[in-house]
Amino acid sequence: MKEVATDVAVIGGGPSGLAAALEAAKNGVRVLVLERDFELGGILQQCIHNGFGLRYFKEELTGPEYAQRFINQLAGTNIEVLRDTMVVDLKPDRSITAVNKSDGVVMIRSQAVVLAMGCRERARGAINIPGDRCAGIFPAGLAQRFVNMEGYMPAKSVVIVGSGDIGMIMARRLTLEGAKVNAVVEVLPYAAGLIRNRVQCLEDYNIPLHLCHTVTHIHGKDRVEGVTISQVDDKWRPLPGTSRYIECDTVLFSVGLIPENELSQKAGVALSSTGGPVVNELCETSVPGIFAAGNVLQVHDLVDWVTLEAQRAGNNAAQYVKDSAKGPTERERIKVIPGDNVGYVVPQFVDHLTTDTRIQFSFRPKAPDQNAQTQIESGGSVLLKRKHPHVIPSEMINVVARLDPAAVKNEEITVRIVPQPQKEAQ
Amino acid sequence: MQDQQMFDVAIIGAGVTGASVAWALAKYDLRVAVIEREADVAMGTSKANSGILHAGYGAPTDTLKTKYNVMANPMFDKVCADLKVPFHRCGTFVVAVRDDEMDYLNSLVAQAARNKVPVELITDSKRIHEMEPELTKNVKAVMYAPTGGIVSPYELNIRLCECAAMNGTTFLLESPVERIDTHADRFTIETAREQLEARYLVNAAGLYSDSVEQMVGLDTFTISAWKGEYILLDKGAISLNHVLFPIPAKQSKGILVAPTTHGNIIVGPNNILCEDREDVATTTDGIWEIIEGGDKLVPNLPLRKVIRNFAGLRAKADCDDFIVGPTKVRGFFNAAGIQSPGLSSCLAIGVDIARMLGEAGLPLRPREEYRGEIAEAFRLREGALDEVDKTIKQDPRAGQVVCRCEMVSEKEIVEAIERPVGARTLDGIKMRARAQSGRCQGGFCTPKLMKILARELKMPVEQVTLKGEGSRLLFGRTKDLPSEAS
Repeated sequence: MKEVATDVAVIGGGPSGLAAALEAAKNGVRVLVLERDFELGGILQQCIHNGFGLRYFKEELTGPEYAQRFINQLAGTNIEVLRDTMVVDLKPDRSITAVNKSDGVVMIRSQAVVLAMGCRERARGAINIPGDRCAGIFPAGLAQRFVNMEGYMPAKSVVIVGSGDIGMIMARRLTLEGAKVNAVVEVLPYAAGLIRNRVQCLEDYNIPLHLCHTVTHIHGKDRVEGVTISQVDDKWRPLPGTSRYIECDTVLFSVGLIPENELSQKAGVALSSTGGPVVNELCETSVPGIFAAGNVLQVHDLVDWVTLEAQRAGNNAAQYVKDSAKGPTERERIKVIPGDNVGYVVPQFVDHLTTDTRIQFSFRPKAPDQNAQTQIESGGSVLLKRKHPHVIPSEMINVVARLDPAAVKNEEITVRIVPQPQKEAQ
Repeated sequence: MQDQQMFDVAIIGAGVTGASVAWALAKYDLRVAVIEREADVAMGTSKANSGILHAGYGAPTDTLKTKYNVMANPMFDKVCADLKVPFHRCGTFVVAVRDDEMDYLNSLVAQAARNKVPVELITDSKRIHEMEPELTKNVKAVMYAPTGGIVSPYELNIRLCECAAMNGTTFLLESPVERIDTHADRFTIETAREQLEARYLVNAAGLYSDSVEQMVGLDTFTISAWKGEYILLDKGAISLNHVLFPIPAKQSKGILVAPTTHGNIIVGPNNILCEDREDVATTTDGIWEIIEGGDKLVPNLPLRKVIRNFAGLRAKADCDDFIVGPTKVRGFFNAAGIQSPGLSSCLAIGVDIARMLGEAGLPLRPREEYRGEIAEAFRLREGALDEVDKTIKQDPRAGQVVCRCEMVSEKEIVEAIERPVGARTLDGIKMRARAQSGRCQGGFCTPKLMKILARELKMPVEQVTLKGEGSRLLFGRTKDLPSEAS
């Protein structure tokens, strides 16, 4: 068995892990990246469409280009990378067990850990879509991998369940490769993914989007032969008399992403209701010295925000290592509560609040709204307001705030999305 | 050629019943063929059931169901240990939640006594919840059967076949039987692929066993297909110590909640008569029926942890019992109508069919150098770290994780393919090595598995199938489609 010691171990070499590692290394600490795939870059490597980096690089890049920008930066650092290496265990003392072909079992002692394992696609079974279990049923991201990385066509005639971003992007991609996308079926009354994807991937290609619809049956003995779709009521129950059959040979699922925290749980990291770790404003989890960033923490819609979040996590992990001589710090535990029309907020706690603390609040509305505003409140008074012409669950809202510690009452902060006052709205 | 295709015994059907017959016959110096229409063994009822070893109290005393279940139950410890089949004798509960269910529970206790199956009636709810903390607070009493348990049904099926193959049994896959000619001393069996001859014929064709019987001119029973739907929950969703049955409905044992041998939770089945013997589709109504049924035993099942729904078909004979034994046609034996508790009974049915074949004149000479044990295979997720390290040093593929959810290495995938009666399809890999059976359901590992299958079986990736003919995943290379359309 190989034994390795490092300061900051980063689990995952996708956009989040790369940004965290690079930022941690700037602090002069030793950094080790553990990547399970044969190459760095994560899921970006299969996202060959453009639209990445508009915010961070002020340029429009493809996924592989965006990843490469960070991979290239590794050259000037002493960051160590282990590829094709799977982490099999993580303990609360931040020790890591990994395996790979060349080293066998690798035991890693690390002072701080950044969790950057990303997320997985919600599978068909998780939303209980009934019918046959034949070939031709794929998560959208798997179809994306087949087409963009492996060079194979998994479909000729397609129905896509769910209008998540990957699903809409694959609708366009498969159309360009000569397949026919018959329908995108969305149970919500609006597209689940970004508006730009609805316009650029569906509307521009005349691909029908059936809102308030669901697939009630997948037909096919050996290979998919078709689906039955139905309109649904507001509780997502199929409405009688609305069902119809659509012939297809492939069904793709794009019904949400789930942070992959099975490993985090082994270390005793507490998870929130969204499946990501509960963190404070430093991206530090309930286990001291274990940080989390990117889609393992919360599912992002733009990679640019992943980068920014992971840079904070990486920097804070390095600070944690440097400060470790000082002993454990007191946590204040100011609770951040999702209020009106807010599904969740990251961070869930603010632990070290001074007048200089820049806190990045990330959150999503529960329902679309127009002329809305974010209000960060404590003890009944509004600490910060931010206006939004429109809000939609698919688009994460990010607000950076400096809060006056004296204004925080009862160790609670609430984030609400409320209508703008009438005169301000006009 | 003619001689090569002459067998002492041909078994039609490689489900767990046919596999048990093959396993029982493998001890003897015989030429045995197993004929299966699917691309793999364990592709029907045997892969889609509850995976329960029943204690044997469930059926009336004078039935074959009880005879074989009670006979087979104690055999599981040794067979599963020898063949490395996941098995756990965790005990089963039948749970009464209303006072008016107590009569039934008491009658079950009496039936257990008649069947000579040890059970205990427990009415102390404190003790019940100590034994099973997640069980509903409505529980009035449980009948505890300590000899019941859980077994991985498809792995039992596969390992029985492997053991048979290790001892010379021939497996003919993707070979649906189309015609049987009966001669005075033998049968000629025509499949879609080949013709073979056998002195004795065992009908273990499951849902199609009545059709097979008709091919030799018999018409002694009719099979009906009864669908059972299930949902499967992720590992760690909840923790259960026992199999939990409700007080049964009229037609079946009711919707159970149970742990699986791999740490998942299974909920189901319902019981729906199907016209179509191929109809294993799940339904919206069925899934809700299961969820509501399971909720009566374990309230607030974590439905967010559901990773799959599936359905299987029970092959129920019109006599409502197993049909096991010789027929009016010399040399033709039935092992049919093997519905629940079929998995619990299969080992005894296999042994008894072998005995009956011997009585009918088949010479049962012990096989020299019989191999009745399968060696423990490398399992990355189960191995001690120093063992894993040592294995990787000998075979680097053991350190290459292919399936992240179930922590399956490339070495395990390759072994699943190389084993006797090895995997040829993605489903075959799934049953043998567990890749794709975790929470992502193959979302990440499918392309890797296809490449390994293609490499090991020396075929193009496009030809890899999910479960045999007609179930390819890919249509070809990208950029091929437009030209194909023109």
